[in-house]
Amino acid sequence: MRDITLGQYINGDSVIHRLDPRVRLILTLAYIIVLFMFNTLLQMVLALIFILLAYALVKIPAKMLLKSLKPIIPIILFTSVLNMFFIKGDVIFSFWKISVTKQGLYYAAMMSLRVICLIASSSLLTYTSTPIQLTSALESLFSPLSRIGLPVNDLAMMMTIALRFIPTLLEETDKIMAAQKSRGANLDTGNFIQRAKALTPILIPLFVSAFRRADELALAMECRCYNGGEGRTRLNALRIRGLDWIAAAVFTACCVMVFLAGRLPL
Amino acid sequence: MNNLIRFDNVTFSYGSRNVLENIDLEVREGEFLAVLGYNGSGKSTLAKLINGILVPTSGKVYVDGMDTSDENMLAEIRKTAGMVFQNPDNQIVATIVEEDIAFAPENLGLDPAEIRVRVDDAIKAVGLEKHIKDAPHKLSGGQKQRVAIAGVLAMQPRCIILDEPTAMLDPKGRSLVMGVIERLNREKGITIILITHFMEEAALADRIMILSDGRVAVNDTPKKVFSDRDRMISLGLEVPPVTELTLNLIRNGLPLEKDTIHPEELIDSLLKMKEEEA
Repeated sequence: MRDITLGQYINGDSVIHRLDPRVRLILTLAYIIVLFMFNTLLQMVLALIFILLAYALVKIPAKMLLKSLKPIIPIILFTSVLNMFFIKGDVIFSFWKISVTKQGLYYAAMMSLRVICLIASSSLLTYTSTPIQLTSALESLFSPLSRIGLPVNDLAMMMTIALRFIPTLLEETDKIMAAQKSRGANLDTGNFIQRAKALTPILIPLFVSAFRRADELALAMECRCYNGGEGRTRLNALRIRGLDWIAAAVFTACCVMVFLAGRLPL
Repeated sequence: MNNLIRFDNVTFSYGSRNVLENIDLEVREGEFLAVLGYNGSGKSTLAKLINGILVPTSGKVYVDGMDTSDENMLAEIRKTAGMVFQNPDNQIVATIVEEDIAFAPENLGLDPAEIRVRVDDAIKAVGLEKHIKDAPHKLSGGQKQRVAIAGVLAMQPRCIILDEPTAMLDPKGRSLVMGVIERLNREKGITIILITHFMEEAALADRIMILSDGRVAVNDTPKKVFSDRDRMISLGLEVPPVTELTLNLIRNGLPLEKDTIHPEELIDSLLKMKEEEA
């Protein structure tokens, strides 16, 4: 378990990797919002092409994309089928009491494309951003809220520490499990309730040790002059550069073009 | 010489139990002091008193003339006297080595360019340049402890207090960490207060202080301290392995010095004896 990677970050040096994480986050959100504003099939197809081009830019293998889409295939099928059968309109063919309409097919296709684009775009965000980058992006974007008393810096610090300690605690869980097993604990057999009960001798030592760690960490942080978030500076301060502006401009231009394409008489 | 750290008749108690009693201690700027004592002798409490984590029940502790009971001075005191703890896992804050080392300078509100310089200097001082972008949990224990030392170093402290920094490390990690500590003392002139239970580590210090039942039992140079084996045993401690070996050799009739505390010294005298024989 030592090598767990958090999230699904794929190390790389693409244009998208080099963007400021805040820009990546905002563009992803904008893309999702725009997806819901599009209402013609042509626009949806263009949106799909756009996200596929982005994937090509990052050089993420198609396999990864398909992997992230796999869990939602049932949802796509389910909504498509519902759309197909229950939207009234020009009947293409009927079967018993059910009839498939032209409009139904149209909406089913729209819906599926929309969901696929949605998942693909949010996966792209997590493929190209480490959890820490996302944390500092959120910290920076929410920082105006600290003026109304929301402890944004402290929340970000908590998030960072949580991310930092996940591997440590996983390792510790491994050790405790091995220790309990070597003393005859039976963790893998029995029904659900029995197995849940068998976890108690693992969770209790884990909690105790986590609290002890927290105590020591707090001390070590104090020794290194931590005094809450105020007045802190950052080693790697986020900076918007030319590349970020270009990315935002390209994205906006694509959006405008696709909106205009929606007006074409097709 | 300047006294960087001064304990002035310090007593510290938890409830009614006195952990430390009437401690007087002076540490010169640039000195390497080792603190020994069996478990529960008050070693860790002494360490925590130095940078104001604990405040004396009576008496005063001064760091570079600043009183540790003065809360307004705490930041300045902690910047002057940094502290490294036993378990490296529990003092690393960030998920990337360089960001962890940057933690203290970030807290001090330094300029990003200045932080970069300090991080690079600190990582070089502990010899981990190759691992600057690594995740701390992928490093070995000795490497993690060196990251922790670098994290303190980035504050540019004049004194570093290390509370059993090698207790959880394997022999290799231990010798690397000790190498770093010695170098910081010799080359950068940083005052070192090393709390340890390894006698061979204490032998590297300029001075050894032994605590027993919360009092200062011995305060002398390593050679003098370790040449009195019976006293060490009576304090619940031992002498370094090389001293033990030398004493055995003396008992077997070899003309060696009783105050041999470094392996190199013994090797030298043995080689010299061999030459004289030949």
